[in-house]
Formats: sequence, structure tokens, C-alpha cells
Amino acid sequence: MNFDYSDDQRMLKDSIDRLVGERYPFDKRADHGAEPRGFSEAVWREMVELGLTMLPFEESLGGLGLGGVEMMIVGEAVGRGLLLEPLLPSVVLAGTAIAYGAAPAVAEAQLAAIMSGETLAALADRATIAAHADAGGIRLDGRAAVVLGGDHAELFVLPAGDSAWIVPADAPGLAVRGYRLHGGGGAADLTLDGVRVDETARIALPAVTRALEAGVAFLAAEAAGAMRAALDTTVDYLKTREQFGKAIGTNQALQHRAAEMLVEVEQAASAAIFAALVAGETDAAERARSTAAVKAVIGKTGRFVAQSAIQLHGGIGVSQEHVISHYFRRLTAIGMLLGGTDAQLKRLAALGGFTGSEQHLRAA
Amino acid sequence: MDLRFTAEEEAFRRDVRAFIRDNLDPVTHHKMLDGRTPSKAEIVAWQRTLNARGWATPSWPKEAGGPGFSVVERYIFLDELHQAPAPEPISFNVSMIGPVLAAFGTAAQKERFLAATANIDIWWAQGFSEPGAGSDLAALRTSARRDGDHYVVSGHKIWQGMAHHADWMFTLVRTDQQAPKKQMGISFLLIDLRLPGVTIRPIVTIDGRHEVNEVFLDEVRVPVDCLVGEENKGWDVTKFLLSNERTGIARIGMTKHLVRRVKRLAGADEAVLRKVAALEAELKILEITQLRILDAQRGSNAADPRSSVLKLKGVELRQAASELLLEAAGPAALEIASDEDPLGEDDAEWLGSIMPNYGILRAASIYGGSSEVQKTIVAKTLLGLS
Repeated sequence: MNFDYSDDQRMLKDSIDRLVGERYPFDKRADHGAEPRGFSEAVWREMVELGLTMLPFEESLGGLGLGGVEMMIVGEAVGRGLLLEPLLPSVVLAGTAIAYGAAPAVAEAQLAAIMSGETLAALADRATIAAHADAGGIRLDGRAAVVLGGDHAELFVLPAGDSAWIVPADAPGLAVRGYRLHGGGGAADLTLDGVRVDETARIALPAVTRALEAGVAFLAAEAAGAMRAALDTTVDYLKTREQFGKAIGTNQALQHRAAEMLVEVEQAASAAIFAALVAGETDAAERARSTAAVKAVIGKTGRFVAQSAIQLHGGIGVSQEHVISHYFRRLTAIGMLLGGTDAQLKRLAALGGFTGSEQHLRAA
Repeated sequence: MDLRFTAEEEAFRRDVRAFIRDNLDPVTHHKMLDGRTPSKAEIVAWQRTLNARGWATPSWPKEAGGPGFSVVERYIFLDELHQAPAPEPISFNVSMIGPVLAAFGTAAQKERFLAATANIDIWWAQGFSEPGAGSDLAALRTSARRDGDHYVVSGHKIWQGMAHHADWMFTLVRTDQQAPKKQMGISFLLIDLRLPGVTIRPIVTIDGRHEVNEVFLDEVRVPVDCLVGEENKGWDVTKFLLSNERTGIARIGMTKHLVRRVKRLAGADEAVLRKVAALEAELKILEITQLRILDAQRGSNAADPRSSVLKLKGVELRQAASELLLEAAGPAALEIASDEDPLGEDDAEWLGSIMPNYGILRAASIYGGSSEVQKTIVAKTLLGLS
């Protein structure tokens, strides 16, 4: 048991922290978001140059072969800085699905495009698509909703039937309606009417599960970073804002609310660590249980921390120009993406939770 | 980063579990599973079984007779006891007075008390709180006046857990009424409860049980060799005592036992199972928080203010589990039963303890520093708010 970063991990943290510190002060964020694709092309380029898009993929696929802890380090920084660049949809979600589930030659080619940052990809987690064999290929019909990063994706990974399929955005029969999301980033609703793919586009379905788990782990890290930053901002405010002739942080009611926030922020940090370390777990059931627990806790803690941060800021907390209102929206969105809290708890209950009903001394 | 315990730590966990399975008296275990309170004789017998194995005093330094556990081993040991569930080593003896005597006691006091404390030949009571001194412990008024080689002690102590089983009480008394700060005139004194002038009166609690007491001290003559540390420096000893035993403060293993009971009672009740899932998710993550803090504590004896985080969340979840147990059992849990009722079938859930334990668990967010006190500690020490 050990919770320290390695030297390499510390270096990674330093470089991503520097990037976020220099490129993403809060007053620059609105400009980044106003660019045509909704994020900063320049920062995205820097992220590619830093190797962040290559980070989780095996070296045999041209990646850096790093693990969950490295992605957590990146995710926390992304959360703290409220970054808008499409690392989660393109690299973590679609990229992981392709890396684990496509034929090696296909994976290598597609990932090369994704890692270069030139191609943006997206994975649908809310899709009802039917796949039928048709004239030597496969025909896809159906819909997908709120496909993260789908508003500017060149490539989609779409679950249908017993597999998922790589589908180019310009495939005949695919209609894409893109839009921006509360809390940052964009998404798309897709309609598929006789979209044709062949066997080379096939992705094994367990790879999609892996991708969603990696996505939850990344969201957990992002949430942990955002919550820590929201708490720090709130505590600074409590120390400097004066009312009735004294700092408002001298009031016990506000101190206790801040203390309650810290408890949840520590839990969120633990959830992110748990998700990062469980990513390498080989037992799929254990990964499923852990992922559900992580996402449920992130949803609950995120909501509490976000609401408390606004409450302790008072009126300024609900203004568009204050960073707290942005943490609030991002944390709310994170709680709802890739399976909301209720859905995760339902899943965890169906998986039997972590503790059986049997007496401890009788268990193996 | 790595979540896994070492192979040695895993082996140690298996050893502890096997030892409990092979050595815990079945009746005691049955009572613990049911949530009943074992008798004094049963608790003493288990403590002595642990002592014979060298495990009765997990938090004591080796030179005082402790097993020399690492912080991780100590955590694993307590977690296995909590999950089994088996009685914990008596906290008054093992977590409180033992380490104090090891750190502050004279050679004669160590000789006289340590081994007897480990083997529970002496059962200790804690004499801190008073009717006017709860969270504000330093407001205590029990007085001790020096008279030759005795202190003459008078006052009124309250909430002495298990004092009716106890032989001795470690207590805080005021030895200097004129001290400039209320923390400064306090001394730490050991009192033989058989001395003339000691009266112990039971307090029956919300669970219908007699576990806590009031202790009245009326001109009790206590030999001066029962002073621990220096006269008027008792507050330092107290701070050491209160910060000493923080391992396992989240009591995760106890909550897991409650979760097991809830699941047995809930059957296929989806509404309850959904709530259990919410609890289990947080509990799993709290386990990681606990391990993070343990990892940080390795090789350091300094009190970690993040222990307050563990206490706050740990208590919240344990209380939530006791509430779910109530929900899973339904109104059948309202039938008044007694810990003395005959034990049922080994694998049948006994409902008699559910309502009493739900009630008495409210005290978990009051004793050992109430949740409000913990939040103030967090705000001041971890967030710098004052």
C-alpha cells in the first residue's frame, strides 16, 4: 500500500499544472470557449505535444503505455482549470474503446489519427442502434443521444447489437445534430438510417465497457480537482470577505459547512485514486462494482460541494463572471454524465455491493 | 501508488481471522453478531485470550508489552475484530490508560499497573467528564487538595462507561484553583474505586442498558504516588491520551457488519438494497481515505488532524447503517427484548438489539469529540479558518 507519486508522475503533474496555470487562468477560459470548436486549438496542440493524447495507449499501438494514476493526474488538472479540450471524449472514451476492441491494424491507424489531435472521435454511451447483416456488410439503424464530443467528431464508436462499430461522421445515412453542453464541452444526437460498415469497423463490446470505466475514472479525477479548487476558492473567500465588521469565515456555521465540504473533497480524492488503481484490475465484476461506487460517490460529493460553494459565496456565487458558478455547472454535469448517481446505485445493488450477507468469519 | 497490502500483511490478516475463528467463545461471538453486550466475564476471557497471544494491547509500544504492530497491522487487526465481530480490547485499559502510563508513568507505576492492565486484572474506568464539563473538558471542577502524602478528592464525574465493572479510575482533578488558565491547574490521578468515599451510580441509557455511570467522590484520600505526570500538568497527559488512539477511528469494519445484517434482513427489498448500495459506495471510498491517512502516518506519531475527517464520515455511515437496519427490520424491531434473552439459531437475525443500538449509536457523534467539535477542528487546523 502506497499513495505516493513516482518521480515520473511528479514530473507529469508539474508539466500539466504549468500548462493549466499558464494557459487557463479563469479570465482566458471564456475566449477559449468562444473559438469555433468550443475549445482552444492552441492549448489542444500543446496537450498533444506534451504527449497527453498518447498517454494511456500501449506502446505497441504508438502510445506511452502509462496507467490510471497518470490519467488521474491529468484529470485533476483538467478539473481544476475547467479545461474544455476534448481529451475525455476523443482519447479516453473513443480511444480506449478502439485500443481494446478494434483489430490491431485498425486500432493502430485510428489511434495514430486520434493521438495526433487531428482527428476527434466520440463514443456513444446512450445508443439504441440495430445492426443487420446486409449485402456483405452491416447496416446500422437507430439513434444515439448526448454523444460527448460528438459536435465536432470526425469519427464515432457506436454500440449496436453484440459489437460496437467505428463510423465516420460523414458516412451516408448518419445525421449529426451537435450542440454545446452546460458545464462545458459539446455533444451530439445521432440518427442512423441505413449506415453501412464492414468487418474492419467492428469493436468488441467489452472494450466499450473498459472505455466507459476509463471515462468514469477520468471524470472522477476531474471532479476531485474541481472540488478541491472550489473548496480552496471558497475558503479564500471566507477569509477575505467581510460582513458585520469581520471576516465571514469567523462564523461557526460557515466554518462547519466548509469542514463538511472538506470531508467530501477528501472522499472525492479517494474515489479518484480508487478508480485510477482499479483500472488495471483484471476481474471485470470487481471493476464494474468499483466503477459504480466511484461514480455514485463523485455524483453525491460533487453536488454537495458545488451547492455549498455557492451558498458560502453568497450572491456572487451565482454570477456568470465568478468561477464558482462554472465549477458548479461542471460538477453538476459530471454527476450526470456516463450514468448518473441513481443509475450507478441501481447497478451496484444489482452487482451485490461489496459485502455479502454472510458472516465475516464464515467467508473465505 | 498501490492499493494492495503486502503479502505479509495479507498473511497477517488471515492469521488474525483464523485466530478469532478458533478462539472466540461461540456464545460471545453469537452475542456480538446479534448486537448484544457480552458479560463482564466474557469480555475479560476474550481479553485474556488475546493477551496470551500477545495481541491484547495493539497500540502499546513494544517496551511496554505491546506486540510491536505497524500502523497497518494495527488497522488490519482492529478491522478483523470489528468485522468478526469480536469484542475490541477494552478501550479504557488498552487505548487510553496503557499508553499514558507507558509514556508518563513512573517506573513503579509501570511495574504496578501495565501488565495487570493488559490482562485486565485491573479494569479501568475513565473519569473525565463532569455535569458541567463535556466538550469543554477543561471546565472540570472535581478538586484535589494535598494533605500530607495524600490528595483529598471531591467531585462528581459522569458518563463512566462500564465503571460498575471497574476496579480503578483514571481521572482529571483540579489541583490549583488559582491557575491563570483553566487548563493549567489540572492533574491526572489514578483512583482505586474501592476507597472510602467513592459511590458509583448507574445511568440507564436510551437502549435500556446499564453501561454508563456517575461516580461521586466525597473526600476520597488518594495516595500521591497515584499522580501521573507532574502536578498541574495533567492537561498535557490528557491531550496525549485523546490524540493517541486514532487508528480505526472510522470503525469501517463495524459498519460492514451492520451492512451484512441489513442485507440478510432486507432479502429482495429493492428500496432498502438501493440505500445499502449508497452506503456501501461511500464506505468503500472511506476505506481508501482511511488507507491514505494510514499511509501518511507510517513512521510518524504526530496526531493527524485528518483523523477528524475519518471520525465524521465514519460515524455518519455507521449511524446510517443502524438506521437501515431499523428500516429492514420494520416494526418487529419495536418489540422490547433483553440482552439476556436466550440465544437463537446461529444464522437467524435477532431483532432485539436493533432499536436499542439505533438509539445508543446517536452517542457516537457525541463522545470522543462531538461532530461539531470535529468540524471546528477541521475548519481551524485543515482550512485555517478561525
